[in-house]
Amino acid sequence: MKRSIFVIVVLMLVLASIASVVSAQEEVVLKVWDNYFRQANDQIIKDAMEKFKQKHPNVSFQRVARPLDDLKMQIMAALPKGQGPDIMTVNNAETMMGPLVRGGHLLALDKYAEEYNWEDKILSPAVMNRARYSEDGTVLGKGNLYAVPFMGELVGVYYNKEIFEELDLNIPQSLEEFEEVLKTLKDAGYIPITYGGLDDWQFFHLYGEVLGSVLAHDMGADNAQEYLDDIVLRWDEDRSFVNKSTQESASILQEWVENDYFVDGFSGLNGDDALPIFTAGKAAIFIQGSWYSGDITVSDIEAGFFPFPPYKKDGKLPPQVGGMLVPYGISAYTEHPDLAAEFIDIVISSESTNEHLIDNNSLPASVPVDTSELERGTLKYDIYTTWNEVNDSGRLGHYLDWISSSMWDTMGEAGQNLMNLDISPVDFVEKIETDFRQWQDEKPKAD
Amino acid sequence: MSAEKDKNFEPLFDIMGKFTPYIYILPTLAITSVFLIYPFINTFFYSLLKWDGIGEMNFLGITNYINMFQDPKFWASFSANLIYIVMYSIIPVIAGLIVSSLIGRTELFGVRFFRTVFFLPQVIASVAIGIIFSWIYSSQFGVINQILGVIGLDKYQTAWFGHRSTAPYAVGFIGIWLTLGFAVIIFLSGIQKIDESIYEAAKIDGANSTQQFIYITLPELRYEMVVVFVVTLIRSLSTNIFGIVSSTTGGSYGTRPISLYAYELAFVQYELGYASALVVILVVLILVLTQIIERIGEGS
Repeated sequence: MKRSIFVIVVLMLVLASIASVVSAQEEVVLKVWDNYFRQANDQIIKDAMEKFKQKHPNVSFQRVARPLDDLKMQIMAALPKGQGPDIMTVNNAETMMGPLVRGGHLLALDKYAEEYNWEDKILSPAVMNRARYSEDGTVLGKGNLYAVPFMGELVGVYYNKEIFEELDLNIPQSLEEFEEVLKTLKDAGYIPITYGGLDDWQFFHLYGEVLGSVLAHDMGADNAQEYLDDIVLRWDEDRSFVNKSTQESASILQEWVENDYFVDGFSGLNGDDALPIFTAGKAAIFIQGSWYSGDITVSDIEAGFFPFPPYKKDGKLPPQVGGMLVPYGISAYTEHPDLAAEFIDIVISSESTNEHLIDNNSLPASVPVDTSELERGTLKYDIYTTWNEVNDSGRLGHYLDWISSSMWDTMGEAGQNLMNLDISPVDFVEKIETDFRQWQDEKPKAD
Repeated sequence: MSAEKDKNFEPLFDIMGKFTPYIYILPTLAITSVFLIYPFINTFFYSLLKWDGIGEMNFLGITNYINMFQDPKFWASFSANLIYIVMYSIIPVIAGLIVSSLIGRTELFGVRFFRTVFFLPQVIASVAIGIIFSWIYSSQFGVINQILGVIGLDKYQTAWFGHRSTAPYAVGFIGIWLTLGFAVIIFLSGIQKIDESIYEAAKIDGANSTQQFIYITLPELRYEMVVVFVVTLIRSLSTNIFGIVSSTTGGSYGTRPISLYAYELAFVQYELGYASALVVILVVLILVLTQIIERIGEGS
């Protein structure tokens, strides 16, 4: 009898332990919605999912990858109802992150940032601030971390090496030298700069690069970065866009227009029209973002890349326009926050992620990038050394359309008018300032 | 026998008596209510709010409407729409009347071919049309600038989409190309309905071609004109123009219509309340203008 009881107890214990194992291996489905549908980035996510599943065989993924404009509307509609994905791309600032944080729909990731050491691994802390909001969602740039990127973006100067060698031109070390290069190119019959003025964002990047250089000269590089942080990230009402630097930067661009340094008919070209003028060897310079480097690499020209120079020779590196690719965030309603954070860490930290990114000339958020294996003198080498330099010095500037929710519209129109010489530099900065002041009334405020 | 048979096979709805017509229109009414009337009422409600689409709704009353009339961006969009009404609606109607009256009453060789050619733009997606015209108008590679160069008119080469003085009209010209064919096809079918004996009687009375056009063709085509005006007006204000502007200028240089401005406010800036106010005004504008056109058509 005693033996029978003993056997039954042992059997029950065995069954209980099997049951606990089974429940521990409960099937989990993580829903991921992102806009990384293009081949290179898509492969990064697929590889990360495979790697994650090897570690967690009970986890499967339901992924939706669509263009951000479509996805944004779906996320903004689903999350407030407590539905939607566990993990999703969350565009920075007021386009997505602000309203989602204010509604309490995003999970603060600081606990995981510490656990996985994201602050040290990814970009510079100053850049990571772009994914931070105060808990009430009223102040951008500080407070809780709500998203993390696996890729960065940088605007700089692409140049045609063959044309530079032919005309015996060196990489300019100051704004003055840069303008001498433009004049030499013009005199030699080349188009100095190709530019697609029909796309608003082409202006933001061009103006942003010149502004960074002028600001750093007028107020010092550190203060210039602080000014940009205040006005673009923090919407600081004590800052103003009307000042000598913003006006001079606008004047410089108008002088370049008057000197015919831009491709003919630039105002009717978009970015995709401007690129082939550079890759066909007609234009010597293209001031644009790292996302064009893949197309330039596979073209027939030999191109290089350098950061926009400081105002004066030997000056500090001025702020360079750039930021992060639309980052991943986690829903406040997920039942699996730990798994979601672990998946994001794999996306960010995996060696295969960096390999894919470097293969495609994209900028890993995980810095510094190891350039020891890269061939010197190539576009790839130029871009990654610049990327490391910019992150190391904390000089990654901002996309100026973040200044307010309507700034894309306002600066886009004002920039086109400026470049067409329809308005003066003074009028241009006043239009930006008017929008910025209006934003002070409309921006989210603490109760 | 026959009466008995009819009684046996009386349609089910006949027993509903005077309510029978309502049964027939019920499906359409239901669809219209769900997809048009309810969304419009909802949009009107949103237009009274300050709302980002997911957060707290704040009731503003008619503030969005007051702000709209003080918003220079709204008036810029309104001006663009006025240009599009002229170039998508009024010019194609006038030109369509002339073309169709020229070819409608003659035995034109290959008339079927011309009809197909005229109608072809109607079956092309507006975004595709925009992309095609982006190439045609391109300041660097466009065929218009190349032709101007070849015939020695280099000084007129310009960035057609890149200046306020040309961009709205360049976009508007696409409308003429797009809707002229539609107008011609509708007017041609109308002209063919007109009894030839009326023209013969007019000729006997000594009416010349212009008089025949004014006193016979125009009055006989009034219903077709109402249809063409209404359809092209709606295209110029909302449907076609949205896709074409998005895929050409993106709304730059004074080309942004009210519909695109409302879209950007709603889905880029998350000003859903203000965007809804714009949509309400756009719908009211379309309703008022179409009513005016119909009244003029009936009156004439």
